[in-house]
Amino acid sequence: MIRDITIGQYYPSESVIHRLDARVKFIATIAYVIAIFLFDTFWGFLPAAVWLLTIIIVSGIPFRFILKGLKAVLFLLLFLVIFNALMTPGEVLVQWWIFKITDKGLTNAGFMALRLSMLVIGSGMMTYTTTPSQLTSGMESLFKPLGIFKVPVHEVAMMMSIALRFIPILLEETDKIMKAQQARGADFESGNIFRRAKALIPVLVPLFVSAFRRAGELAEAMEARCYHGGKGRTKLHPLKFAARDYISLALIIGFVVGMGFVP
Amino acid sequence: MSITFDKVEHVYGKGTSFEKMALKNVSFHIRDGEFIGIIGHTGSGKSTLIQHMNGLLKCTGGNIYYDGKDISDREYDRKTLRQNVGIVFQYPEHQLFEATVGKDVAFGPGNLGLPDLQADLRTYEALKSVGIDDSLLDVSPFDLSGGQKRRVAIAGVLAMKPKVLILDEPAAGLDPVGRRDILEMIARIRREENITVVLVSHSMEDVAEYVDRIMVMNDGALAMDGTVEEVFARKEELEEMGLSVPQITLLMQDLKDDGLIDETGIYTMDEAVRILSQRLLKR
Repeated sequence: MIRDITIGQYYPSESVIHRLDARVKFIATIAYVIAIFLFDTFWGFLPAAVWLLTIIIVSGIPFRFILKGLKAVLFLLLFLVIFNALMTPGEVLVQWWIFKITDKGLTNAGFMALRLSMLVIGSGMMTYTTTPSQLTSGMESLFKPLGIFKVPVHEVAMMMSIALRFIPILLEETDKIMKAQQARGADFESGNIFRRAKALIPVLVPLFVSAFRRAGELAEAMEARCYHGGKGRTKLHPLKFAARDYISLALIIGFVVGMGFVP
Repeated sequence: MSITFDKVEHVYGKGTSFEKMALKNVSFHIRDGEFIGIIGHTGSGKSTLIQHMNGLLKCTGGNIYYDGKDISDREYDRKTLRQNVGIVFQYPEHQLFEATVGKDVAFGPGNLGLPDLQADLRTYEALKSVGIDDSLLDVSPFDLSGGQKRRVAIAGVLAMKPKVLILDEPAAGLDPVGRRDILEMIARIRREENITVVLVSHSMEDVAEYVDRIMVMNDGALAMDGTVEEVFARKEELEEMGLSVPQITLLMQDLKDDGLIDETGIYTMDEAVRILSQRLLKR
């Protein structure tokens, strides 16, 4: 159940996309996101869609896995489509009682759905192909200039990587606690919403207790190994650009420049 | 309650690259009142196996029967199954959540829909049988010591009055005295309540000392199933699976090889002490 959420997970594989520098992938994702929000014509979406499809195929991640990620936003997607279809003024196509579906509403809804699913899949592609540690290390290095404005870049990156690291641990813990309480007769599946919310207390209390315990243990372990923040800290695997990264970067720049010519 | 596993199979994450066969073709029968030990290497499928025993996991192949009834049947009452089969997971103290010890133990009976008075009665009984004093009833479970917490958590399962009690490493992380206390307590509860007990353990010594029958899991399959003597006689095979025989057995075998004693197949400390003292007296 909880394990079905694939978004944000890493999907291990040996593809070129997996080996790319995390910074390149981050820049590519930003360029891609800007592209899908900038355009609202079919010709604007086409290059972005081709770009996304190429990446999916090269990365070797199965489509089923990617579609599972969309499941998490299915409700949001439906909500957006219905509201866009019904609430946009324009030439009325179908009318039933107080509901009107307009031509403009329909195109808006279509673009909205397309945009959102492409956003989720696209940003998902980055996390599927990048390990959390590469990801934060890439972001740390990209945002380093912000250090001039006294932004604690390293600390934020460290917090992010710890948070990401804890997601699977806490999911597993939740699963374990739920099973233990189910073994004591707890019922999470029946009753109205209030009963179900109340039924979660025996899960949430132990979960918080264990999260705090783990946080304390981690802090102690970090201190025991002389962690003192980002100053003077070196990396075991420093990010280094290889030929494939320069080529990808050139492709991204080409893509961005190309966007300017799209009608 | 008799438990029958018939060619049970479990696959995690079917159809993804994470797919893993955790149980392969596992078949066995557990009679009423047996004391069973399950041993196996980390990741051999022990935890997956016990979660099938009360329907927390559904098998992806094969069938599981309780008293001859298939638990995957639509009509099968799973709630009663969970009441009849109590599982104490590893580090059960991590599931404590209530404000007081008494309330936490009463969580299970409360879920069964028992009247308060009866739930309270079961709470007292369960706490008594794990050796937690009445004075701790209104204390927060988070203020107890590690060993006490574990007892309270076990009491939480006992209060359901299960007919089958499954314990996953109940003595993990306890000091030697605590280990012994917990295992003795389980053996005593089994005698008093006359229930079936399944003990999952990494310790060959504990298993040899307490259980009647050992099941050995290896790589998702049931590799051996027999009495303590039968299983520990196959030392080489066990060692291939990363397991072993009790240390006392190794020592006694060495003594036998040196011609100092005649007996073989000694698995518990008590037995060894008895044999060695006889030897000393004869001198």
